[in-house]
Amino acid sequence: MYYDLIASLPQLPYFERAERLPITPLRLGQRLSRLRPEHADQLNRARPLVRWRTERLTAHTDSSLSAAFSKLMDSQLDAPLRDYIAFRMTQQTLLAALRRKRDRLELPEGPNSWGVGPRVHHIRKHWDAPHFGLEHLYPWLPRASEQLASGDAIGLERLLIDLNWRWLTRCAEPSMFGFEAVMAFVFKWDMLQAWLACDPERAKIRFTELIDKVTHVANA
Amino acid sequence: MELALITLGWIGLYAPLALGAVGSMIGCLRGGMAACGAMLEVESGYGRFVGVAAMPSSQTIYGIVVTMALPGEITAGNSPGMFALGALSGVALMFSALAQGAACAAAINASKSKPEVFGISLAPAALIEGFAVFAFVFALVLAGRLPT
Repeated sequence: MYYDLIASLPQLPYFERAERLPITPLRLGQRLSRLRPEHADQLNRARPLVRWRTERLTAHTDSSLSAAFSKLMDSQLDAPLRDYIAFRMTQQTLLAALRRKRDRLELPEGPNSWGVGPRVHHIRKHWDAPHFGLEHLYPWLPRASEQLASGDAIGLERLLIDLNWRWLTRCAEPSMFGFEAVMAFVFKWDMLQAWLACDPERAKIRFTELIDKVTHVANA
Repeated sequence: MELALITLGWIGLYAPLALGAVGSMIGCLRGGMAACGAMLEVESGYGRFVGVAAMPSSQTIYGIVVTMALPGEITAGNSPGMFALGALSGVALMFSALAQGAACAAAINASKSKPEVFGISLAPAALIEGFAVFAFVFALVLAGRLPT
């Protein structure tokens, strides 16, 4: 149990209501140093794979993500962390399938070449069914599909963060001072950091820079 | 046979104090750890956190009183009753201290971010204290009925 660690962490506001991070990365790292070595190791191994950062997707290929997932799931993990990794990666797999379907792409051949988890074979088998016949198991699929189709990236991001946020809250509830609560805090903090990093003004400047760069190259 | 009964009597005599103390130690540890963690997050009001963390210590006092209330002379006639009364009241006190420690930790965790809920957040810990008092009082009442 982590009575001292949990009590030393600030209250995390719901991501849509947050204006700033309630604890800095440095301070969070210091507080997490109270984790037992085996739990710290598990979190350090899981965070790069499931954290809510865009680098996670740009720094990996589908197959390298799949290999990292298999390696992580084959290692020693506490049950709540294992469940969250499975939940998060299944969500990513479903989204990858929805994107492929929207872009009228076929699924690549070979196991685990485009997704991971227990739903891969089901999706392949029910590729032509609306939402792969999984809308009763994952009620968010139709909404995510609509948002993908309409290009509502922020809406989709909000939906996915909300799903993960609620999952982690439910996971931490039975054990307020257990590893589950620490894990939930860390992953929620990652999501909050990513959400707060979404700055429309900076995005506009970056977009203009990229357009200038492209047009400059084209003119040269 | 008589020796075994007498042994049980001695166990029953010391059980309320020993089990109450074990519960208090772990309960205070839970509350104390939460208090230390919360002190890193707040700028003032450290004293009240320490006060809350000490709440589970009352079970040791109840255990001392129950031990003192049990008959001083242990015989084959009163040993079974002493064992039952002492062990069961000790278990009740121990679990109430463990639960109260967790409740105190939760109260400290809640009130560090929201100081206005400090009083109400202690309600679960107070309720648990109430159950410990029931166990304590009825142990005293029944101790008076044991043959001396």
